[in-house]
Amino acid sequence: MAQKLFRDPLYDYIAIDKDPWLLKLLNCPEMQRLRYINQLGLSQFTYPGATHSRFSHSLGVFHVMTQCLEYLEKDYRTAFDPGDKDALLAAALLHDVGHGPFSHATEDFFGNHEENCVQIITYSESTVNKLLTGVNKDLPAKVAALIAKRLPTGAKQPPLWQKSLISSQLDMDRLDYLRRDSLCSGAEYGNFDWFRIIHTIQLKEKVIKGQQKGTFVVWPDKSKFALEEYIFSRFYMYQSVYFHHTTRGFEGLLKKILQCAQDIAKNNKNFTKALLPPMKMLLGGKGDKYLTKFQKLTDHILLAQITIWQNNKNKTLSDLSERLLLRKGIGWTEIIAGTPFEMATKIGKVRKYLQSQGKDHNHYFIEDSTGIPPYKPYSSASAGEEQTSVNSIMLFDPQWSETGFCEITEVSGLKRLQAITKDQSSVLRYYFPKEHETKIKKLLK
Amino acid sequence: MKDYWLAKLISSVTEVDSRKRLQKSIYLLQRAGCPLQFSYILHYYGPYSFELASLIDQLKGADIIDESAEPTGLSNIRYKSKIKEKGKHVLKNFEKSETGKDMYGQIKPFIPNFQSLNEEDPWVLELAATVAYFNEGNWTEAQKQTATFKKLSKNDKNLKKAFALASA
Repeated sequence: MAQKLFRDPLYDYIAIDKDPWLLKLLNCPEMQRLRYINQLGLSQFTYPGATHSRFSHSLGVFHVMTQCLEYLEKDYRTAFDPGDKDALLAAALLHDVGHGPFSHATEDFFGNHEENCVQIITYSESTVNKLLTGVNKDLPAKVAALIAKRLPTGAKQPPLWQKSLISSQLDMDRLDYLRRDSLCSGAEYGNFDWFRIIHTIQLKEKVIKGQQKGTFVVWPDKSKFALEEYIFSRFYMYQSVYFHHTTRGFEGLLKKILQCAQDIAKNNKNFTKALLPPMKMLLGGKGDKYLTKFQKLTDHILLAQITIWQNNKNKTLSDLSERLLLRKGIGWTEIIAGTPFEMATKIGKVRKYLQSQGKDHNHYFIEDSTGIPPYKPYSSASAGEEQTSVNSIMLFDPQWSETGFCEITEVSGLKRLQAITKDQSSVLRYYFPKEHETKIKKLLK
Repeated sequence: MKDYWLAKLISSVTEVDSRKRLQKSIYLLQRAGCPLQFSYILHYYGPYSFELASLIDQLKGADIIDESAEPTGLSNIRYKSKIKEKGKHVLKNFEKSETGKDMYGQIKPFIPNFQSLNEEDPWVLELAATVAYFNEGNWTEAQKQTATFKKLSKNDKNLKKAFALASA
């Protein structure tokens, strides 16, 4: 096969040169659609350069996975069953095909991206499914099991180490997106020694309980500073990019627009009729037709629809659409170390106030919290006593007492990491029409 | 109001001695109809919810609960949680409001069950949650699947206890 080279801002070149089916997979419509899905949702409202796509990110994850597997095959050939490598490479390329417009921002309306992804891969009429089945009839199920958070009924559980490479606290996805998002946004906090991380990976078997065992992805002590750098990068990127107050505010506004449109559609057939065809997904539904519409649903379609809604008869919908398109008119405030139920009474007052001002509180008041975002900083205690290499970052040294496994923030010399991985303050943010900022801030104090 | 319900359950016992216990107890409560509908996946230790783990972090960050880490070996730490004074105060205030009264009414029937799960053997609790996870209407099949998943004999006495707990 002739070598196919892609220029890439992170890796200079990405090559697909061994298996022709991988290039065909990249050219499937489901993959090509990702060119029109923004990797960082509305982060471009904060960082004008953050306009890169899910497509370039997926290609990057594929590249990192290729390198990682080449390295692992040298030392751990027996860990691979036939077809494992194909499944891991395909999963790396396809892991984001289920994203709706503006990525995570619209998941409440167009479905969880992992569930969509599994549906697309296992749907017998999708181009992706046909191609994978052509390579090996078991391949679609194997790829789906690697990506699915909840194992599809009857599917075989993939080995823990393979799940760890696809989706864990330190997976190939994060190794690419942190650096890519950093480069494209211009927020230069996301850099770390990724090459060392993937070229020092080890696989070690651990007894979980009784006779139950799992093969963990671990790193040796000599890689601890590269891993530390990764955790700091993730923390900074979370603080400065993923949880930026402007981005989160406009993504909240986007959700309110879609919620408002859904509410109107319930009682207004003409409104429903006038929707752009892929936007009819807002009305819900499942099955083949749903997937066909999803394939056509991209950032451009959603933006076109919102542009049309700017002139809608419904004043709330047109006003919200205009605020988004002109990037204006949102006020905000935040409460550090709070929890939503603690704020319930104050929020009730704000909602009443907005109603009294002729603004529907369901569509004009946005609540956001650090617990919600899909990108989170590493939290060392989250996994509790159930640590594996999926929910924790583990190091291994046979000289360490007991099993030799140790969660990264407990490793000697790295306890300083606990300052950013333990006891993270909970932040609650509230967004509302800018013109009511003074009054609402007072009510929330 | 998942944050309130979770804090309320934790406040109903002196302490919860591990995150694992909390994960499995809440799963069993959910299967019994508790409104706390966290999404769970099958993890290597049985049903596990990233969402719940994240909410515990949030309650801790909001100063509602206190969590202490107790090393039980180099690679093992046990996380004990209990309600803080500030948490008690916030819960009390919230329960004075109409929403608070309503939310309390919804969680109240499940509090005794949570208290009793908090006394269970952790290994039996883990097995019980796993049996409940596999149960799709056929308890015998669920028990069989749990035995395979946990590499146990079908006649394991803890598995039998777990089955009794999950199907109660």
